[in-house]
Amino acid sequence: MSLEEELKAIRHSCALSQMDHAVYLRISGDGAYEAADRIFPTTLRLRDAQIMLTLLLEEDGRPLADIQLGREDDNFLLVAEGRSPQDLIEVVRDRLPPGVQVDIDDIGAEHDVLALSGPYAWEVMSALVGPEIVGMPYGTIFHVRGWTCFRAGKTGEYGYELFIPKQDTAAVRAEILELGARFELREASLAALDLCALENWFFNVRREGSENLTPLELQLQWRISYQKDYVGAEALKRRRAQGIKRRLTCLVGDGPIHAGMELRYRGHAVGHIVNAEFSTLRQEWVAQGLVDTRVSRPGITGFAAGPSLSGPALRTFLPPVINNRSLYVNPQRHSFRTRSEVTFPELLS
Amino acid sequence: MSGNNEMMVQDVRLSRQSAAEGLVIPVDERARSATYEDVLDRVRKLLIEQLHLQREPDEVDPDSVLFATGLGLDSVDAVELTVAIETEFGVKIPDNEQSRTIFRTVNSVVDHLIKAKEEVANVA
Repeated sequence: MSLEEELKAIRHSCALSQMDHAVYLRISGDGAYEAADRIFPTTLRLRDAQIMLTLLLEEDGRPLADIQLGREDDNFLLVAEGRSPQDLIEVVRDRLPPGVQVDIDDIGAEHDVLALSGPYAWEVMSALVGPEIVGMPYGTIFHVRGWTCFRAGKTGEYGYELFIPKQDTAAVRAEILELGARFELREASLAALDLCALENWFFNVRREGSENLTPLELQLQWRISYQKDYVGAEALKRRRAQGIKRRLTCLVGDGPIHAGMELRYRGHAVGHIVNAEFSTLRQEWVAQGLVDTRVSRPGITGFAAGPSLSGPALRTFLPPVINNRSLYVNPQRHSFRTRSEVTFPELLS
Repeated sequence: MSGNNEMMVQDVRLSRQSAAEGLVIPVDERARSATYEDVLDRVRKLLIEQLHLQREPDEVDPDSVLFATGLGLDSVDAVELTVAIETEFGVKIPDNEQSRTIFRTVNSVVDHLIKAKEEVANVA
């Protein structure tokens, strides 16, 4: 299947993906809350069955892993990208407060995670597990058919992540594909998910996260706190006191563009590209640049990528670059079958 | 992480910054940026005061997502934010599907406010 078909499914109907690139851990035991509060740089206001996005940081403040942190009673579920399970378990163990005892389980050793994404993913889920899931808000954990499920995702569309015991994965996958046929469901690769994340301004630890940047340049300060102690806290305070000169900025325009290209504004070097892909939906290139803060606000034209003024022309843009259909599809009123009877706003913003 | 690596991070940043020392921004662009910075500053303060965010203005990044897992606002916050913006800026937030795109990020609120003011100025 072509990338374009995968993207079309995510943006217009529903796509199924196997999330083998992520790591799944559970932290449990009497000290789980104290451990999580010490390990993660965010203010840990997390109710039962709620998910928040945070990070794990290096000593110098750079992201070490991108974390979805979910709470189940007094236990914590981690969905992490950027490290292997062994690395992550070691990092968590190293950062436990003195005397705190917890169990750290690699859930991914016994489970596969299947993800459904798209404006009608809720309808496929409803057909799979029942209509009670339809009202689940983004950022929550629920249980159906004995599976733990995250109402989550990084595509800007309705998203669900199902933790399936490995021995059942093939059967559940086949069931979803069969049910999904009437919703024009397609399988989507990590490449498609990454492009959707870029279009929707979700942090990608494998792309911009691999640059030498901190949450200040990455515009991820909402995932951290300056009021608590954790690995990386001092470096972030120092960086904040210095002030940042460049900021991750959304750009769109001509191509081809690739990571590492110098970025010029009216002939002056003002940054470089850290992530770029061709958006088949927009029919232009979408990029993230590390841009001089003086010219990083949305709506500025006159940028060129590469060493010369004749490089691809770019302009700063207000992200996300997609007006997601999921913003307007209401499970109480709409359905995939009757979608052509509804006039939705254009996908391009 | 060693101090050497941190120095390396700084060095890379400084070497790239130096090339932009002579950056000249056109007058009209500077004016637009000044308007943007002013509105951004006011929106940040309004978010913090009205929604009791435990943040300083510089911690609210311009492209921060407002709802769900972003800054964590909910539907009650949306109502309060709408009233506060309309009062502070004298700009109407439409009570329709368009408000979903306006409230996606801090910058999308700022963008709406600037465009609304420009429309009023053009009509006048």
